[in-house]
Amino acid sequence: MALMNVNPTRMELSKLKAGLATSQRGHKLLKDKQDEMIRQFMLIIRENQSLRKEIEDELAAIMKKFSTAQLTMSYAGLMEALMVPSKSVEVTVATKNIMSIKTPTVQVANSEGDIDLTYGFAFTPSDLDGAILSLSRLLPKLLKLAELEKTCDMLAVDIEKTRRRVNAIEYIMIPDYEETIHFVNQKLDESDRSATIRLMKAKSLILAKEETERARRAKELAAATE
Amino acid sequence: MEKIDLAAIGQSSEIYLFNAVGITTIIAKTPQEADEKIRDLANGDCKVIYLEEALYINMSSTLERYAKRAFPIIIPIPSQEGSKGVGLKKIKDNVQKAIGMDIL
Repeated sequence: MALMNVNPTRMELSKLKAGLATSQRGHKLLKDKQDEMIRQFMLIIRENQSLRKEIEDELAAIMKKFSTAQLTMSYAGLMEALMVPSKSVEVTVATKNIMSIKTPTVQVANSEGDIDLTYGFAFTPSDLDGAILSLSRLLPKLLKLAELEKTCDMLAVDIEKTRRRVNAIEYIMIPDYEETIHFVNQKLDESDRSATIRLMKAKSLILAKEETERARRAKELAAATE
Repeated sequence: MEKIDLAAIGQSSEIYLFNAVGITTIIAKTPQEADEKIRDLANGDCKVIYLEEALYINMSSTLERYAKRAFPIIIPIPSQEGSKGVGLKKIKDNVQKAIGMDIL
């Protein structure tokens, strides 16, 4: 905490008080924003975690099938089978606004159930068909996962940023304002007191002077009458 | 070049499996190579890039570059050897970052 570099005047005091009110309001707003972001984040991250686990399990099973297929056929044959995509995936993307963060949404534009395999079945093992069909069924989930993970990444970064701001306002800015306001108040009180004392002192000096003057005149009058 | 919406980048030929379901596949042996490919894809308005875990963990500077943008989305996928837990670790890191502790 540190005092701000200000002159201890009434003008500055009212400016400081306005600044304090603004930062308290800002703090409350940011705190609310942070709370809401954390609420949304918790909802999404749980979904993300379960989807990630599910996809990793399924992908592991698909890869296992694919490995078996790789073992039973030649590399060239495998590449030939895989090189022609059975369908081209088109996706529609948009951005969604979560607490003023633009997060992505992804959806498959042309999803029409199972795909047709584009290779002859004579020289390919059934494991390959299984792997490709399972992967094509997994595709919407893979896109959902991408969307959720990116949203979580962006929210996490923004929550951290907001938390830093909230803390900076709460533990640095507001105490600084309060300390400076206290300091200016004390300075003003002090100068008030010193002005009063000066007046009192001046008054007593004047009174004392008048008193001696009155005594002198009384003396002169007494001398004149004798 | 044809417009690519979805791409998968991996180190070995197993990534070609994704080609069969309509995801453009690219082989990149090293993170540097993958970085160039990602740059090209991002310039070509690619939406989602699935990156093999082994590459993903060595490409933090590339990922940093696209962290603030909504697209392209770059996420890790397990390779043929199975999951190394990169994706789940990322989720835990995010929770740690946002909440301050791992509560999952």
